[in-house]
Amino acid sequence: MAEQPAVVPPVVAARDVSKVWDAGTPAARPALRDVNFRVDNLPERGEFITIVGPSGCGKSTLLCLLAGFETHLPLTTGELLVNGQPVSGPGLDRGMIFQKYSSFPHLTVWQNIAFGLNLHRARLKLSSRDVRELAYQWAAKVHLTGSELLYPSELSGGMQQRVAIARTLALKPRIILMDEPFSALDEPTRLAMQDLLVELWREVEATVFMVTHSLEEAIYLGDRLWIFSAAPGTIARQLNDIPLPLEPAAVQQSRPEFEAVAREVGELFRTLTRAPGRADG
Amino acid sequence: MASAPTPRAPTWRIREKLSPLTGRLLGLVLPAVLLAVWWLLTRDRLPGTVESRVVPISILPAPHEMFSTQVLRELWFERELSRGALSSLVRVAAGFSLAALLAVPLGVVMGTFTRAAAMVRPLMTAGGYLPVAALVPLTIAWFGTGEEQKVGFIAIATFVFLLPMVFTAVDSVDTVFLQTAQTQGATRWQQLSRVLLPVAAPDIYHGLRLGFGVAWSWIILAEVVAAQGGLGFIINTTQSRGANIAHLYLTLVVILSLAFLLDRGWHLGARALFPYRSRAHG
Repeated sequence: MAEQPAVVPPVVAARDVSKVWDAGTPAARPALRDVNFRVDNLPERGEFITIVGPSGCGKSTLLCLLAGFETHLPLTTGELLVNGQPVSGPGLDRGMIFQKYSSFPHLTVWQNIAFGLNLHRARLKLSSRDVRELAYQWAAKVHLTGSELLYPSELSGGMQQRVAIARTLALKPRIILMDEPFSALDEPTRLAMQDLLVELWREVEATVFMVTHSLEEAIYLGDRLWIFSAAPGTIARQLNDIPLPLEPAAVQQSRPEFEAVAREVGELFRTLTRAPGRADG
Repeated sequence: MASAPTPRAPTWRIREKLSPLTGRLLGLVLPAVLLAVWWLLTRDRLPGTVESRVVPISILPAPHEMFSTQVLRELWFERELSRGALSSLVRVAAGFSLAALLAVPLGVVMGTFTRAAAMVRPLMTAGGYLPVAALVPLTIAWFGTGEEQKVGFIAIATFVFLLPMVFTAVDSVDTVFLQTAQTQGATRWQQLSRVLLPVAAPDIYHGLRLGFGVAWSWIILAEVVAAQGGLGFIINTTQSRGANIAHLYLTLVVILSLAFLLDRGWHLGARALFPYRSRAHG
């Protein structure tokens, strides 16, 4: 064991991952097939991977498998490795942000942000005062200063997702899974949230997998963009050469160059995800 | 008056927002109408002739006869109204507490662990159809006619009501809260104590509030059939002794008023325990 060379394993690697719901029964529904990818461990920075695909193509299933939810494991075939270890359950190295608002209704904003920190207070050697301070710092980073004492029912959708982001980042996960986090938000809020993510990104150095149904969002935020095929989903195409978020979302996404890329990707998306029966249409 | 022909807003608007004062005033309309109808039906149509009433006095006394000091005094002193109310209340509280003590933990365990739910669910569903009235003779057979029977009866009747309420409260906590806690590294115990219980708490409380009302309505049945003391006993003896029927009406008024006051208490409790709920809708 000790003579193992110090090779850094990829942050995440998937080998021939497939998932069939109710496999082996007449009700079997394939969700994912032959998913293969590898995200290397780059020092000091994580990759931002955005995933688009037709609805029901299994992209959310992939995130839930990465999160290690009991409801989704085990894989039907293949291997899903995080830092060289097969995923066998949820772990602190992987944080997740959902489309549904997930702030605990009985906790205030700062208490919600402190939720994970409180669970691990002893191990992190934090006093309850430290936790509160950290929570307030994270509230400031997601621009929620002044709202720390509000309850979720008093927040807008965008504020709720800011809470979720702060709560996730406070635990410093190496991998962040985002399942259509901004889908329920209106357009200006969505753009503001994209700016927030870009702003936080320089700090967190995590690998991100973000499922979205907005091509513009995927192009703007992603280092890599995966287009999934229709169910059972698989990575039909990976795009690496897409614009980086250098300007505020609203500015950059209205530039003709960006719009041209979006049109091109949109065309490709339609070709790749077209239902086979209507291919000639 | 208005120069532009603006369309008039209808008086009965769907989901209209009422001012608190309007709401309270509207709440008084129906009681006032009932009181007026009562007065009309029990009025002497020929002055000084009781026989001329639409409704005979033996069925419904007039308001001033019902709330006369003499009737109230009889009810209070001879029929021991306050003692009756107190003993009913004690029985309800005891039976309800017993039921809650069993139903809340069991319902929480069922809402948390699918295996527990699978084991208990068939019986729980059947229990919902339990003919509670039939429990009266049964509990008399088991416990005799003493206090144990009253408390036992209330406990069983309330338990079969509470269990599904508590179970549903915990079961309907959104999975996204559990998944969030799991990705934050919560243990099974922490998922229960920091997510399922606190998120379900307002709904569990609401179930208890309804369950208390159920217990309160059943106690009269238990006391009417076999009781020493209690509000149901007063009702029963009024009927059998052919005593002043005003006593029966007044006892009903007392039961409703007490139930209303107790429910206000539950309401205030909810406001104190779950401030985030009232703030949201306030």
